Amino acid sequence: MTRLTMTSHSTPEPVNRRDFARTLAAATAATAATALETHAQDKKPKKTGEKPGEKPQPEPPPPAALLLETLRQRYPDARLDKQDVLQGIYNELRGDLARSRRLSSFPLENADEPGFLFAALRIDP
Amino acid sequence: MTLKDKHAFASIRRLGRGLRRGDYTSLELTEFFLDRLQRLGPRFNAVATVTGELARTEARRADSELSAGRDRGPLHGIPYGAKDLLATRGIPTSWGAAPMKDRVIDADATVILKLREAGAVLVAKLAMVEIAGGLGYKQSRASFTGAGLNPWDTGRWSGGSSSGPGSAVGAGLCPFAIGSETWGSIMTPAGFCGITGMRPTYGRVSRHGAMALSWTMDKLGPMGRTADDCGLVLAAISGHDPADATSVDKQLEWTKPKKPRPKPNLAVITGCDTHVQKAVRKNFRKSLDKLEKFCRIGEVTLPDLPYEDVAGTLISCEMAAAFEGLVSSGDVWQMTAPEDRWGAHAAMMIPARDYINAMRIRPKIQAALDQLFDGTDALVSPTLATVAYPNDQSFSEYRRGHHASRIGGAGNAAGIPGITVPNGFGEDKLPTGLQLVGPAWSETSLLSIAAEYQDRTDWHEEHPDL
Repeated sequence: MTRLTMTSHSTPEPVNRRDFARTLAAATAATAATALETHAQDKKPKKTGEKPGEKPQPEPPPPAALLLETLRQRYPDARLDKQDVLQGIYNELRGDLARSRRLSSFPLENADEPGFLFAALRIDP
Repeated sequence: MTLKDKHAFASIRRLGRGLRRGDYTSLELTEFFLDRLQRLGPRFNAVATVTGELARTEARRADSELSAGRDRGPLHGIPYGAKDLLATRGIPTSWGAAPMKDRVIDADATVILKLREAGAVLVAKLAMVEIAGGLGYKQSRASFTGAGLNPWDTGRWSGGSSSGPGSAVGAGLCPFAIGSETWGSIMTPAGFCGITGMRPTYGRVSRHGAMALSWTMDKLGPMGRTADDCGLVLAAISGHDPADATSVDKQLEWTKPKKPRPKPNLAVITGCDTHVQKAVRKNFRKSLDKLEKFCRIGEVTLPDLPYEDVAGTLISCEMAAAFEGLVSSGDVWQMTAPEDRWGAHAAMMIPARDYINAMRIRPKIQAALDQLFDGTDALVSPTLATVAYPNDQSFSEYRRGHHASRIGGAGNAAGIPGITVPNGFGEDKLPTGLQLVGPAWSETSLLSIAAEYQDRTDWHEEHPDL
């Protein structure tokens, strides 16, 4: 069956981006310290168009930091919190995100099906 | 007759002839290899478990059957080793991982059963990189049995993840072994240790009873001294198995080396020897000179497709599903390599969309490679860009600036077969290899070309002086 109505733009509830970022930034402080350090090295220049006097919005943590924090909550273990371990996982997450972008950029048609086969099952009685 | 060093490095057919002539019994042959495994195995960290009791039982059976006129074929009475990810009833199956080092799976893998049916004698479960390398190891000390050490120089790595099969066959501790490849795990240790190794087409050999790292990428295959040996073993272990739905009813027929007729068409992969060590390039070009005597050789460019991204995503996602329990239980922290203790974590976060997209791109890779084989029997390239890595350096450090062609990722993503044969010696007198990759189900053709190459060279007869 081909579904043509799927969209990634629908958001069920509006999210206060600023509060979300602030809360998450606090929650991920320890984790993000590692992540942000790496992130800062390749951080892009500030966006233009900020009005004078307007309080700059805090930058949300980079996606890899969000994933790292989710990972820590999903598989909690004190051994994860060592600096070299966090850094290693963070680097892996960044690599996976980059790979994900490359896969998404591959030109696929709607009809391009996955290479695994599925068949309905009926075991003969 | 006293068995000597030359027997340790003899081909399966030669050992079989001696057995049938009555020069020695299977039990004597088995004791000879058991002694080598016990005496020399620790030198190379090649062995997980020596299976002495089972081996003697199987050898006595082989002898009594031969005496009674029952001959099960070329593997009858021949000892072998199995990578320690193949389940064996009553014998530990560790997957190379410390938390599982004493674990016994109460069943035999299909490959073990098929080899028993063929009369072969299991002498050892062979060491391997923990979880077949699926946790992302970056240096050689990644198994509870220690770093796999190369029989040509123990300061060098044997290759992985089939480290034990590579060094055991290379050191003459067993005549052949069963390894597994998800991405490079047969070709690399075979190449580094100077032996012959074959990665079969996905589905050619049942995976039942083998550790699953990646259900859609794992292949089991033979590692031996010659292409002919690999053909004999693959013939015994291939074919459909009801216990593995992905196995296909295509049993390899291999009775004796066949002359490749008509002249096979080979294609050198463009640029495959550009970023390799100087001696690797020199040996490759000499190999092409040999191949030209009985093959036509052209050149081909691999289509620019995301082979590594697809193969990497498939392995990461399937590994994450297969080993989530290892992470959530905390057992993963007992792994030997520090990077393997956290190496699986990131993969837990890869979205399903990426896995499915990789699976959607995969048929395009298969079709593009299959088309490449129109009029071409096999692609040729150096097996590896360098000789075996030093054990005191990370892999990336030693191979910096060197890389072989992309056929490794491409071939494994597409599930197509390949074979590596030794083709000389490179830096520090370590072996180099020649790789042939063919279309799906072309093992007979690949084996024939490799066997003919070995008829015209003697690199496969070289062995370390131990």
